[in-house]
Amino acid sequence: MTKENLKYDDAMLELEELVREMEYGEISVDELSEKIKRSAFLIKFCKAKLKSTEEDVAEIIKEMSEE
Amino acid sequence: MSENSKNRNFYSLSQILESVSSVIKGTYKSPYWIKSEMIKLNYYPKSGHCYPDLVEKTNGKVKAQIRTTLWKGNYNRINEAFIEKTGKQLGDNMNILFLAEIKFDAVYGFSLNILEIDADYELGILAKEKKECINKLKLNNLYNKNKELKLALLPQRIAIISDKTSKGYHDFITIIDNNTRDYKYFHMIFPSLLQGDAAIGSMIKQLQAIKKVKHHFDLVAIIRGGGGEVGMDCYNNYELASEVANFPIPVITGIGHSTNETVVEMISHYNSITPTDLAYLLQQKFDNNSVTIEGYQSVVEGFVQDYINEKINILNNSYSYVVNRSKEFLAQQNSSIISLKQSIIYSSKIILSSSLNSISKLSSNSSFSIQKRLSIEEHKLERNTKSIDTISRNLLINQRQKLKFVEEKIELVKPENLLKKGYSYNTINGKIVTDIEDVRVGDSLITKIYKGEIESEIYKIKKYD
Repeated sequence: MTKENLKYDDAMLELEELVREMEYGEISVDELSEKIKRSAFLIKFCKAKLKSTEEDVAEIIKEMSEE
Repeated sequence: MSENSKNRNFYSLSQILESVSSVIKGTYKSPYWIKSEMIKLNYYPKSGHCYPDLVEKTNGKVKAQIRTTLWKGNYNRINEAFIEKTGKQLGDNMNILFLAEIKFDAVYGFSLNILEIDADYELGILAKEKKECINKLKLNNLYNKNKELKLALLPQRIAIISDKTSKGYHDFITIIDNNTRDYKYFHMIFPSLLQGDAAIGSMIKQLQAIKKVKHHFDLVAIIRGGGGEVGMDCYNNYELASEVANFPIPVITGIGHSTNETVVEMISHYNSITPTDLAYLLQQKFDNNSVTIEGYQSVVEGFVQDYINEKINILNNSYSYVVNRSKEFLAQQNSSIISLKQSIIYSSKIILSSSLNSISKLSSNSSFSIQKRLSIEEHKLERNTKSIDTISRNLLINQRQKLKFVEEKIELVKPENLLKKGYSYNTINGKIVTDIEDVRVGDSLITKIYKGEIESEIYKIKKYD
C-alpha cells in the first residue's frame, strides 16, 4: 500500500493490530523484520498526518463546478 | 338631521358616516383579542408605521381579509418585547393573536388598529412547530441518523458553513490554525446566512454543495456566534433539520446562543454551545491520536530492543561456552604434561640413584678403567636428565601456543568478523539458504555482507553431487 491511497483510519487500525501481535508475542522470526519495518512506516505516516493535509481549495471548487 | 326634497329624505355623507361611527363605537366599546394570519407586515421605515395585511382562509379560500394599522410607537414596543420573548422579529407569514380596537372614522374609514401582539401565543406556535419537526424526524427514522455516523479518527478536513464576518467563525479558525502543537487542519468556508427564515434555504444550498465534494471532508461544522439571537428558529425547520440528519458525513454545530437547544443542534452528530468549544474538541481528538501513536511507538521500540538483546545474549552465551570448553581442555592437557614431566624426572632420579648405588658397590673393587667408565656413564645420565627437562619445557610452550591459536580461531568465527572478512550468507523470503534444494530460478536472493545486503535474482542453479 502506498502513501497515496493509505487512509489514516486504516493505518491506525493496522498499527494497532501489529502492536497487539508484538505485545502478545505472536510474530514469528520469519516475518519479524517485515513487521517491524511496516510498524515504523505506519508510525511515521500517522505522525506526519497530524501535521499535514493535501487538500486544495482550488481543486474542490473545480470539482463542484464540474457536475 | 334629514332634509326633504321631492318628498325624499336624505342625509349628508358626514351624517351617515358619523352615524355608522357611533354605532360601531357603541357596539365595539373596548378592544378585542383576535386571531389571524399576518401575511404581510408592510413596515415603512420612513414613517416607522406598519400596515399589516391580515387574512383568514378556509381550505385555501379567503374567508376574510383586511389591511390594519400598527402605529410606530406600538410597533417598536411590541417588536422589542416580541424579540425578547421569542427571539423572533415581527414579520410576514405569522399566525398572531393581537389586541385591536375597531374604529370607523368619517374621514379615514374603517380600521383595525393593533395595540398588542401576544408573544406567548407565538411561543406556543414555535414550540408546537418544533415538536412537530422532532416527531416527523423520528417518524422518518432521521432523528439519530447523523449521530450514528462514524467520525473519522482524525477529524482534519472541515467544511464550514458560516459567515466570514461572524465572530464565531473567526474564533473557531483562530484556535485550530494557531495551535501550539503544529496540528494541521484543512478548512473551507461555505458562506451562508445563519439566522432568519432566509437562512434555511441558504444553509440547505451549501449543504448540497458540500455533498458533491464530500470525499474531501471529514465533517461539516455549522458555526455562528456573535450578533444577536434573533431568527434562531430557522434551526427548528424540518427541511433544514432533515438535510442535516441525512447528511452523509457528520455535521457538528456550534451556533452559540443561550436560548433552548434547537432541533438542528439536537440531531447533529455533536453539538457544542460555542464555536470555541468545538475547536477545542477537535484539538482534543488530535491530542488523543498523538498520545496513541506515541504509545504504539514505544511498544514497537521496546519490542525491537528486547529482541536484539535476546539475540545478543544467545550469541554471547554460545561464544563463552566454546571459549570455556577450549580453556578447560587445554588446562587438562597442561596438567597431564606437568605430571608426565614430574614422573619422568622422578623415574630418572630413581634410575640414576640405583645406578650410582651399583656403581659404588662396584667401585670398591674397581679398577681405574671402571672408574673412568663410570664417569662417562654419569655424564651421559646427566645429559639425559637435562634433555628430558628441555623436551618437557618445549612441550609446554608448544601447548600454550596451540591454546592461543585456538582462541584466535574462535575470535575469527564471530559472525560479525566473518562478514568483515568477506564471508556472506543468503536469504530467500527472510529464510537463510542452507540447501540448494530450497533455491528456485527467479527467486529474489538477499546476500547479507558486512554493513549491507545485495538483492539479486537467481537465473541459473548448479547442483554439485
